[in-house]
Amino acid sequence: MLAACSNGPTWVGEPAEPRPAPILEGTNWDGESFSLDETRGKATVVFFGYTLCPDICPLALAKMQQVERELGASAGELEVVFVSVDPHRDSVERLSHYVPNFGDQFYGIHVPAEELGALQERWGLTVQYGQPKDGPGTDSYYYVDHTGTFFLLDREGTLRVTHPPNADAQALLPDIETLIAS
Amino acid sequence: MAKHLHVRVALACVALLVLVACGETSAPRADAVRIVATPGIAALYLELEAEPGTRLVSIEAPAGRVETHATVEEDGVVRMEPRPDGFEVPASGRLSLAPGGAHGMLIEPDLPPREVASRVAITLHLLTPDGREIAEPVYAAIERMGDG
Repeated sequence: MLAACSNGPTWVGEPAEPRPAPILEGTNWDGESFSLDETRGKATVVFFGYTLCPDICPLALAKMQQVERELGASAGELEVVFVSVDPHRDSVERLSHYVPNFGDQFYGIHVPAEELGALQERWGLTVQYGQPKDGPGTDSYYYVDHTGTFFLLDREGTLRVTHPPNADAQALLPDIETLIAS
Repeated sequence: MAKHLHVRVALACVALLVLVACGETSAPRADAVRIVATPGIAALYLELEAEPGTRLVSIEAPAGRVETHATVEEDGVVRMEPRPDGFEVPASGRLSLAPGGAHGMLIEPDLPPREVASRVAITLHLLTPDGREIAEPVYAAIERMGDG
C-alpha cells in the first residue's frame, strides 16, 4: 500500500503541488532561535494552534505522539513543529511547559506578533481572534479560530501533502512513512 | 433451590418483556466521562445514552464553569462554536461529546493535583422530552496532557 510507483508516491492525504515550504522562523520553547531549514534531512510535520485551545490542538499533538510511537525506531527521522498563532498568550516559557510534554523532541515555536501577518500570508493561514469573554479590552479568555491543517514536508523541505485537522494518526502515518522512506 | 432460581429468572424475564412492551425507557447513562486537561484549559468528553430528544442542558463541575461548545471545521479552518443550549440526544439514543466535535470546556479548571485524585465528581443536567429535569451525578476521569 505504501509502495511508491514510477509515477510517484500514493498519498492518503491531499497531494500538494510540490514546492519549497514557506519560510518559518521564530523561537523554540527552549529559547533557541528556529528556522524550518533546520528540519531538512528529515520528514517534517508542521501545524498551527495555541496552547489554550481546549480540543483540537492538544488532540493534534497527541496524534503526533501516537505517530511517533508507531514509527518506533524510525521516529528519529521525523520532526514535529507546532507553531503558536497566539503570540500574546503563548510566550516561549508557556510553550516550554506545554509542547515537550507531548514529545520532548517536538518543536514549539513562538512567532512574534508583528511577524504573524507575514507568516499567515506565506502559509495561507486563517487566524481569527474571538472576543474576550469578559468584554473587549479585558484580560479574559478568548478563542482563536485557525487553520488546523497538517503540512507534511519531505526531507528536502518540500511541501508534499496536507491532511485536514480531523485526520487521525492512522491516516497520517502512511504518508509520514512514505516521506521517511523517500 | 434450583427450582426457585428458575422461577426467579423466569419472573425477571417476564418483567423485562413487560417493560419493553410498554415502551418503558431506561434511565440516562453516561460513560467514558473524562476531562482532558492541558495547562489552563480542559475539555470534557462523554458518551450519554438516553431517550432521544433528551437535552444535555448543562454540566456542573466543582472544578469550574463548564461551557458547551462544538469544534467545527471548514476548509481546514477550525472554529469554536458556543452551544449555550447544550446538546440533544439524537434518534440513535447516544450522544457523543468527543475530541474534534461537541465538548465541554473548562477555563482555568481547579483540578486536584495528580497525586490527590484521578477523577472528579460532576453533574449532568438533563431535560427529557416530557419536561422532566434530571441531575445525573457521575465521575469524570482526569487525563492530564502537557502538565495540565
